[in-house]
Amino acid sequence: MDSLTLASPTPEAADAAPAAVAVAATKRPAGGFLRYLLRARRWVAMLSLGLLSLVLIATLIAPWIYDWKSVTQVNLDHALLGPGGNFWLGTDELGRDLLGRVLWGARITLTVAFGSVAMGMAVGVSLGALCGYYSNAATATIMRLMDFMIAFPRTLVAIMVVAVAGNSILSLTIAIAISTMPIYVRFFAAPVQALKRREFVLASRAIGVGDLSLVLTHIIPNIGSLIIVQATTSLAEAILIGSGLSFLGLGPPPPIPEWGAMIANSRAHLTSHPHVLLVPGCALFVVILSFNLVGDALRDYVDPRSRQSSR
Amino acid sequence: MRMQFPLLNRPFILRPIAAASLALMLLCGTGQATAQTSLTYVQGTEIDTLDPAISRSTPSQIVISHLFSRLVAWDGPGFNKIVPDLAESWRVSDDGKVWTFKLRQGVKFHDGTPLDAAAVKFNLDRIRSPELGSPNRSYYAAVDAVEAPETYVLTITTKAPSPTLLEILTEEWSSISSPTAIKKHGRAYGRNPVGTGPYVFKSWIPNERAEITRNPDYFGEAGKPERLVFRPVPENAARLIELQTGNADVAANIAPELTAEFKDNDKIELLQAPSAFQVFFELNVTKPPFDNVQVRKAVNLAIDRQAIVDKILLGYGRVPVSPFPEGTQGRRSFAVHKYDPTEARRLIQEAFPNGYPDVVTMWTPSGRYTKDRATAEAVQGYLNAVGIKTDFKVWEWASYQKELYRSELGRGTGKGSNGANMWLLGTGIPNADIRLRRKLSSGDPSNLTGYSNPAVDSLLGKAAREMNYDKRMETYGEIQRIVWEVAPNTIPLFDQVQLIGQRKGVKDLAIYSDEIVEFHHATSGR
Repeated sequence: MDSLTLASPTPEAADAAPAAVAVAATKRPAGGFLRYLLRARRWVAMLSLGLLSLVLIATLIAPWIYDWKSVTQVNLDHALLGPGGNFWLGTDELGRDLLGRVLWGARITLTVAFGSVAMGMAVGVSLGALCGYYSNAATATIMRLMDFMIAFPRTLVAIMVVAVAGNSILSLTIAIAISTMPIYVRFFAAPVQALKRREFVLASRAIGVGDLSLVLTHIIPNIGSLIIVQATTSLAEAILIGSGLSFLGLGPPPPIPEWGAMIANSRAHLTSHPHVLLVPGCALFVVILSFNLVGDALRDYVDPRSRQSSR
Repeated sequence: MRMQFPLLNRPFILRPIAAASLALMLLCGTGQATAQTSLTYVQGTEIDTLDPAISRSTPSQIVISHLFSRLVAWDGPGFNKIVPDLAESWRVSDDGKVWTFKLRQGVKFHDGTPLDAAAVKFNLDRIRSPELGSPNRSYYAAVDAVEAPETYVLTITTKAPSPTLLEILTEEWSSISSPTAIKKHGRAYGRNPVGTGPYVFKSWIPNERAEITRNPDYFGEAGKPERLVFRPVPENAARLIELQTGNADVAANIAPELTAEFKDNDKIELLQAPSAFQVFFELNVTKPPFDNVQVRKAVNLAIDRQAIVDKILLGYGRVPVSPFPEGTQGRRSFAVHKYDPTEARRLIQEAFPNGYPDVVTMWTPSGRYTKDRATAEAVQGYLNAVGIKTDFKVWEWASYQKELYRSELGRGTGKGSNGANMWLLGTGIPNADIRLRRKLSSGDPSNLTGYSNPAVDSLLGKAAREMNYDKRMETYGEIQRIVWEVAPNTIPLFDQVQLIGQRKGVKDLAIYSDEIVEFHHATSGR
């Protein structure tokens, strides 16, 4: 997974990225991603995309099926019921409907994932573009600072942020964003640096286009597809880190249903009532795997070179 | 595995190793068969120190109680009578201030140092000195001076008549250490303990194992097992596996949800023993809403304790009928707090006609007490159900303990600062005086709720002067009645039940209500 989502700060990666950009910007297969999936017979990726859409729809309509009270209200009379009856997937140790909690949990998990990737990307792309476009003492300092941050394990950085900011959905989102941001900076600085030297950029500059509009009109659009690919795979990682932190008790406080916390709290019942752990566990597994597979396909779609090598 | 040890695949290396390990297995096998009755105990937490004066944790005190003797001891888990240990006899002066102890003669510490009054004086002076900074120092506040007028005669002078002095001398922290060893090891004494007890310290590898062996020169009845091994295994499931595989003979703190494993396995069995441990929510009585006694009584009615015991503890707990669980000194029992959410809502309505406007902040540790977090979440549900809005925070134990005692404004508990409205804690202190005084006496450093009740304070004062044991216990009973029926400062949740797993064949463990386990008389059945 690392090789897909993290830009290794090696010269090869830095060279490969702009090449992909150039092709992507000029010769994207017509008909969009869906048609590509069909034509290339990437059934697994299609299935994943389908699953993700299902999860997305389910989370959107969850509030109409289960109200907030029914997924948070403790009812010990219904504790640890098996699947079936009124509770399709059974109940947890405090008698709350597992299906309802897993759906509401998806809302929390996806909000945190999308929020953190959006935040991380916004800062990461801006700083990356800045550092790629200008090369001076300030940007060099920023890059070294990013290297310094990358040197720490990401989960550790996230734990430090949560420890300072406290337990909440927002602080979890910010923690993940901060821990992933340096990687985006490194990842996007290289292609911007390469684009800066391309003829069309030089030409624009020669006719007097200013730095800001140059970046906004020529450079950012040209790394747009890279951003989308990176974002998709980053989502999978953000979900993993988020539920990992929740598992450790650093997520939003109870009774908010979060997948990682649900797994942590049901661990004790693994041998006696495995469904309590399997439900959130499988949800997490399916969503992360799907994001990765879709991200894979998206990368191949955007970058024909890797598509050829993978076929 | 094979990938990791490619060398082992080569026959010329493998054969000698196989031969050597076979020989080793044979050696171990015969060793076990011929001698050494040994018992291995796995507990959830690691020993912190084996210096009895400093230690406060149960896992350490279990080892300490095997290594050391005290001046006097309780006759058993019932707290009926104080009996001689290192002191043969004692008497108190007519004014109740001077205690004279006659020591047992001919006792030697494990390092050969003879036990005399000077050695005992050294120990008691040490724990009382601010230099050592023992967390148990305050228990000796009543002691004025310790003297050794003769080789085997010790006197303790108290500032006022102190009925609790003997009880304090029975505690693990009053164990008598070898002065020679303390002087020799200095700060490292906690890793090299030397006492006069039935077992001698052999080794302690932190986070791995501590080993003690039988003391052949013990003055009392010698211990039965020759060797005792204590190992920390923090994960609940892993402790059970150690037991199932025969790596351990006895396992502490079996989680309720794992008890099913005992039904299908005829090699292990589950012991249940009463525990002085009660788990409760302490209420911050210095600010709304719990400064109002009616609201405190209301929340006590809002909680279905039977459901918590049945569904969360799976039956392995008891609905409290007193602030003192079974196995606590001077216990008096009362009626169960009934579950009546309608009445609870009415009482809250009375105090706050428009409903309590703010959010009640609840704190809980996770993994410290049996099912603590799940219980706290259930309580949150019950409070929400009677119309109290809550904010919930789960803490890791070490930071929780620090936070509870913080005094900055807006943090900590009821001790003059106001971070939380209620926080989950448990206590397993079996001594009536200590248990009540810490939590109820106005201004006590451990009184986190900010509770200050003149009636309770004057009763505590009365008990501290009462030299008649039964009358003193009656006073403690009256205090229990006040906090149970009149003016509570907690929501009692459940009395813990000790669940201890043992290999079938192990017999005669002594399990005390303060969760100390003694192996002196145990037999391994092997």
